[in-house]
Amino acid sequence: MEHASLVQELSRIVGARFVRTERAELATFASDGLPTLRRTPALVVLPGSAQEVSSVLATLSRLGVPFVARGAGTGLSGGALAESPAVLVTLTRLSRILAVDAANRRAVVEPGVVNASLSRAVAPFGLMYAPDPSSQTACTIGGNVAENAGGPHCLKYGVTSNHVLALEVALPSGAMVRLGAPGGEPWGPDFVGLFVGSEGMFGIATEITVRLVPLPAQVRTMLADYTSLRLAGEAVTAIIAAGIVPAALEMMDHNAIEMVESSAYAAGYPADAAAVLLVELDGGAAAVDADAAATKALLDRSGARTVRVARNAAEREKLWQGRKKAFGAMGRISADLVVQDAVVPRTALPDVLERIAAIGERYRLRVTNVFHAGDGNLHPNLSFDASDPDQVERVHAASDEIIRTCVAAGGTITGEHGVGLDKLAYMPLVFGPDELGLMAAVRRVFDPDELANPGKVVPTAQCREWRPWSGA
Amino acid sequence: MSQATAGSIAASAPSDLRGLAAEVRAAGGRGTPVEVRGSGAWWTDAPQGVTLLSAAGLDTISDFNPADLVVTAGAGTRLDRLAACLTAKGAWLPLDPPGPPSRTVGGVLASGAGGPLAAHYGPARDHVLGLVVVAGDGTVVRLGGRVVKNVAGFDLAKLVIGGFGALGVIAEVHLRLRARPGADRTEMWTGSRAWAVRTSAAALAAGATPAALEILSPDLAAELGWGGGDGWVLAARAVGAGAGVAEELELIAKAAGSHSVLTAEGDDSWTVWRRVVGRWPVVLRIGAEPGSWADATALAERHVGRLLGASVTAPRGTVRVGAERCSPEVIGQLRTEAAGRNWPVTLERADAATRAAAGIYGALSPSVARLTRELKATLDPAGILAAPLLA
Repeated sequence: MEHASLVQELSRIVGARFVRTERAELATFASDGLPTLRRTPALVVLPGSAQEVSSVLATLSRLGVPFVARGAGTGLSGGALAESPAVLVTLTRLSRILAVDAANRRAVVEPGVVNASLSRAVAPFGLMYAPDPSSQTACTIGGNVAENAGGPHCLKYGVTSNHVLALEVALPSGAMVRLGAPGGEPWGPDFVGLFVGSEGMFGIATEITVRLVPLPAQVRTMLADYTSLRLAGEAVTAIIAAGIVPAALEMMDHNAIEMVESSAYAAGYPADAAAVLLVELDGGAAAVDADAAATKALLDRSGARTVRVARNAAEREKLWQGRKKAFGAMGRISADLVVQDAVVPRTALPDVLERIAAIGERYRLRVTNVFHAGDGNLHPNLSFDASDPDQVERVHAASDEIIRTCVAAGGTITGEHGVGLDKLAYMPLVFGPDELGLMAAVRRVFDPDELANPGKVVPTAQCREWRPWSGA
Repeated sequence: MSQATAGSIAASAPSDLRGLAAEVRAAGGRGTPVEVRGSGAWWTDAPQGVTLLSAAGLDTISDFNPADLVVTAGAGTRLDRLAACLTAKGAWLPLDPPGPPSRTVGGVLASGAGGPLAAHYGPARDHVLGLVVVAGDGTVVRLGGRVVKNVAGFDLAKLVIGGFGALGVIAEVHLRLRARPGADRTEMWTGSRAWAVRTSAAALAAGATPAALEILSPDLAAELGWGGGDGWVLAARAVGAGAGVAEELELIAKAAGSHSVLTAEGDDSWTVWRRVVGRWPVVLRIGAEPGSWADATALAERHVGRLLGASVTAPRGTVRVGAERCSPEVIGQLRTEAAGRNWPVTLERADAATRAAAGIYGALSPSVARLTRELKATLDPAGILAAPLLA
């Protein structure tokens, strides 16, 4: 198929101005939130409706052209990168909230709806959409579904997978299929559960029914600071073991505190602390009072130097500011930043953090930890300058060691950012050839020609071919 | 290989993963289909020509770290034994499916079932971090992991949970736990069906998020001795700090507009609920919505006739109804009409003949049916795992 006639066919579906082919335009789609990889798509197509998505996919399928779906491009694993001849299908035009059903606590949205705008839209009904990835003011619900996105408040409320009830999906053939029901029960096997987190390799969600949760009546936020990472890590375990389920339980290490406090986002964290814990409790007023008193007592006993409880919304906002702006503050220090993502059992946090610090020292890299401590979901951030090949090399080597350290501690290679391209090589650390082969085979149920987001998630070289039983 | 019984039927009962995989491979070699059983308490009979494969021998709790709130248990581990082990260390698995406490972890996950606690903690799928599964060709696959957040690779465990053993045999499970709550109280109110509709809607609108908010039909409530009258019963369970529990229940009391008729501490009364609902010979699970549970219950009554009872997990809109018997034709008609309202109807329990004739799932759209068949062919290429997902 000639490039020109592909452009013509797609233009007929979506209109010429929604097919982008200029080199300069394609360059703006050549990267996502992961700074170390760039890929240039053959072209970018921006459908404006589910019907157009279906027609675009049907056309690409007929021509055997691979495609990659993309929302806001905030992903941190290179999952939304497309390399020619692959076409990038950008879904930002599908940005309508189709329905809010307050009585049934749910909403129906198009994939391009921005995460934070959904919570804003349902707040007047006393409801919120719980998963809140750090990029929530930019990232889309469609992208969240593809990645099974998390966020600080997933400790209490669960990740994206716990909040998606039903999906309308354009399969890679262009055929439309509805998975799940608005009440959350499956029609057959749990295809919704399978689709969430499939990183765009099973099709494109064109309509998403999500569960909403009541806005908490009361929110209480407190900050504890420590002279050692180990004490902070142990406090995390103590809180969870006491039966307290904080809405969020975040940790920042010394490097993160220092960066924030020396930036315009200074939140008043003790600059000499080895670590701070940010604990948020929410729920009914009496429940929050009781949990807050218990948490404060635990923190005091855990060796915290000080425990500050926000007395009002302004103080709460300020305590969160340091956590939320940490990435912006890091951006000031160095040209580039790799945000790593791995999970370890909660009790392994103190040991693993010490090992990560040692890895950073060995590779002469500044490692900053800002992460979801309650889930054991680490985000070691590596600051570097991408124009220096030696630094890039050291970042790769350090990332590799960090991930291996987490897996060795009983953890996994990604908690919320996805595998994409970035973690492809690490998949054999957690899965054998049979599991990888089965993943590839299940994917072919949805996408027999393997056109959707080719080359991601499953490292094909390490797969056992999953074939029908031979009787041997 | 020892012979054991599941219910009254002879079954091969391997004692470890290797033995389980060998049994599945051997069945493939013989070309004789197998159905998996746990305690044998849920599906109590065997279809003609099918060999039962018991996972009850895989009952080791191999790894339990109370501080991490994660446990690894063999599929054959009984729920009551697991609960006792967890309680001793202050941990809790908030999963309360219908059936006797002798039901096994693997059996419960295979049926995908939750109970009243699914209102807050979700059904079986939401407790699972990872699974060790034997596929239909005897291959052992390890899905998911042992940490509470994990997006490495496709979430294939979701397919096996609720797959009734037709998409792989569960051998071992890694479960996410909670700390045992300090206070655990249930209060019950009673009134008409219309009152129950209003009250559940008002409680949800007021932002209630109890651990359980279950609506029971009058016959079920009477059998349980909850309420004592002939009205519908709304039972709310709250767990956590004492003050928070009282606050949550007050919110619901306000919606109910009356004094509670019964208060219970701990989960004993819910164990009774599980036993009674677990005795229903036919159990259908209707995926309605919080606002349409009464319609769904009425629809089931219209098709099935006299129900043994109905129990509704109000915040999800999941309706579970029981009957003495129900023909495949009736199930088909109910499913067709329910599908018109976008409510799936899963046949959780029935005798083997009804399961085979009605299929566990029904009224699927042609595209979902096709995906289901192709998925089945991928996970069980020779069709050895016999549970009849589709009629």
